[in-house]
Amino acid sequence: MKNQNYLLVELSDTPRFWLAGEIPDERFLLNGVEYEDTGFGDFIGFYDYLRDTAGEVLGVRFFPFEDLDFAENKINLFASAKKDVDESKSDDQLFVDNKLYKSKNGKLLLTFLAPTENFASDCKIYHADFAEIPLKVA
Amino acid sequence: MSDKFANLTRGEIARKFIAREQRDLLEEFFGKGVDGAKERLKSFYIPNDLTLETLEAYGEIATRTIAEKLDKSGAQVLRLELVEKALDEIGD
Repeated sequence: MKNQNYLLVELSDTPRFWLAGEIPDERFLLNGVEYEDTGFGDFIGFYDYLRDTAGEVLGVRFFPFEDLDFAENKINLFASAKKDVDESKSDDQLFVDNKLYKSKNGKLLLTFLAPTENFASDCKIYHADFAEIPLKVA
Repeated sequence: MSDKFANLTRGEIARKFIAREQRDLLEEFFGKGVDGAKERLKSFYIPNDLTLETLEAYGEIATRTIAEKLDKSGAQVLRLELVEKALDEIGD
């Protein structure tokens, strides 16, 4: 099994989660969408993994820095239908490998250092296969 | 904390003053969340090569995060305590 060192989350009303062995390059294709690094670096806020009382990971909570111009200063991203977060187990305040990518049509994607614990059994997590961006021929 | 951060956002402070390898040292220093910071306060040490500038920069970010009431768990308050203790030790 490949190493799953990073978590990628596409931001939407129903966020989509991927695990990846490596942090993506400046530009990459994922699930047919071309993303580009927004250039804010990889310390763009703080994040907590959201865990239940058993310690299973339900999602991630992101506290963006003001530069990113997000509408909210706290964003809960759930991979699970379960929302019973145990706050005492959800206070990591991590701040590494956290990057923001954007697609041409405005889709946002965040990267996080992957959790060391297991995700809850109902979580839908995909394996990220980054495709090469095809050369445009004039 | 220093005036050099006055006109910068938290993100700009992070990009300008905290290099990647310094962040790894900060993570070692703070541990994970509230429990990690409490543990470090009990068995205090400053990782080798963690610089004064990095500590000042993180201290500024933590101070603003607390001021904006974004530190619900109290982890940033504990980290700020660690930063101030480290700055005192380095300054002695």
